[in-house]
Amino acid sequence: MSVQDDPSPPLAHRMADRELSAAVVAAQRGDEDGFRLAYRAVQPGLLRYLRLLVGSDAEDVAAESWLQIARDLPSFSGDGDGFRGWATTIARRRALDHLRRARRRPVVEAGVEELSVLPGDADTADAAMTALATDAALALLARLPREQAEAVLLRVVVGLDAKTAGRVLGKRPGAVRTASHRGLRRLAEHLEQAGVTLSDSAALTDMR
Amino acid sequence: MSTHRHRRFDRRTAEQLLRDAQSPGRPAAPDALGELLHAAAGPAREGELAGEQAAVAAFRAARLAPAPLPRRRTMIKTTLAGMMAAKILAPVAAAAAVGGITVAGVTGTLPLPEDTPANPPAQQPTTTPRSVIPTQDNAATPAAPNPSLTGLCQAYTSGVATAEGKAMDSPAFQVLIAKAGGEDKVTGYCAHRLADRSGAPQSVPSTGPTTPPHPTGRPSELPGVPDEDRPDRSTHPTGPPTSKPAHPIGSPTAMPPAGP
Repeated sequence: MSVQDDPSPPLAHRMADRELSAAVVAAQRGDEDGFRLAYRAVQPGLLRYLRLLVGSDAEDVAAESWLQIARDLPSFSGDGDGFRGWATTIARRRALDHLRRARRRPVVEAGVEELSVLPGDADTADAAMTALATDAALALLARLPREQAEAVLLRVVVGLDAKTAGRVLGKRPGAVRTASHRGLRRLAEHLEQAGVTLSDSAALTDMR
Repeated sequence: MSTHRHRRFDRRTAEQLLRDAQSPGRPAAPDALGELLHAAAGPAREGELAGEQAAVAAFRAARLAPAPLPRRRTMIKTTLAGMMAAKILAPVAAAAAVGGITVAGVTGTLPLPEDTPANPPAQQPTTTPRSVIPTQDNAATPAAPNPSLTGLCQAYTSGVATAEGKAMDSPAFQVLIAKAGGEDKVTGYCAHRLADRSGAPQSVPSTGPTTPPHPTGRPSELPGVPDEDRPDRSTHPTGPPTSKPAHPIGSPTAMPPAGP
């Protein structure tokens, strides 16, 4: 592999992982607040990833996943990063089971339309714009071939390193890197063809 | 327009982009792709955390009834502890025998590990003083009156259902609704259940041993197949259950090492 082995993640992310580690340890001792913190840290990325896999059923699959996470938490051992990977593995298995039950192929492009989340009361226009940009970005990511979309989402949105993402996907870290790099290249081409920047959210939405 | 910047980026640049997307600030070198990734990893939207109360309810329920998995580990630990104790005890017993003390029964059966309460990796039920779970948490806890339902009821009465319509759609609450006999009956059902629980702290229900498994999980008869415990999907039209273990990903509790 020509790429150097997993360089350490950015500082901000590492600190979040440390907090997550503490929260998970607290939750394993039975602390409800610790569990809440872990949920809030992991759930948004998990849900975005699940939406790629199962579309509008993502909320249901996420709820099932958290039932299992809560139940099996005592058996987990590892740090915050490991917890992200563990939870994502559970969620992905649930998603694939869900798809098998529904006897249909994973949806990649469908379901993203439902992503538009109504901003809450306290949301400023700024936050609404951020949400819009997030939706647009996820919609573009969902247009990638599934292997690439999964790799990019696991790394960027769920926040896993290539090694942990590889464990979730049952692949080698190098394969995850290759898939995510190809995905980025393709995304860059999409953007170039459209001639947009992401701050131009309307243009992105039109691209869908 | 800066989109030309990433027309030909190498792997190193790609890795940098992937990592930068997770840092909270703006991308170091803002271009369209960096902004896109950064936006995809953007902060949580309110709707994305709608399942929090249901998840916490599941957490409470799981605390009240230790999961089968740690129980199995506990048994392994007990066995290991027994083996360790055997090694330690053997010389002690031998010394005692040499000393002329009667040690019959000690050397053969090694009762010590049995009497020592195993220390489960799961948290001790310190927060269940009002529950009727027997103190011997190693037992099969058959006497607990569906603590998961009680937890769900607590979550329900604390305002979850009214706050988020989506919460009632979650599998956990679907179980509760099914148990109550309808969504409109949940309030009464929970009032009854919670009143029972707080009003009669000493009551060990006589129906305990025959209480069916908790609907929110814990299929003790299927400890190795955690995927099939969703109670509201009792029918699986696709495939026999024997096909389940052949999953390509591996156990979620022990992620398979993907060798580099």
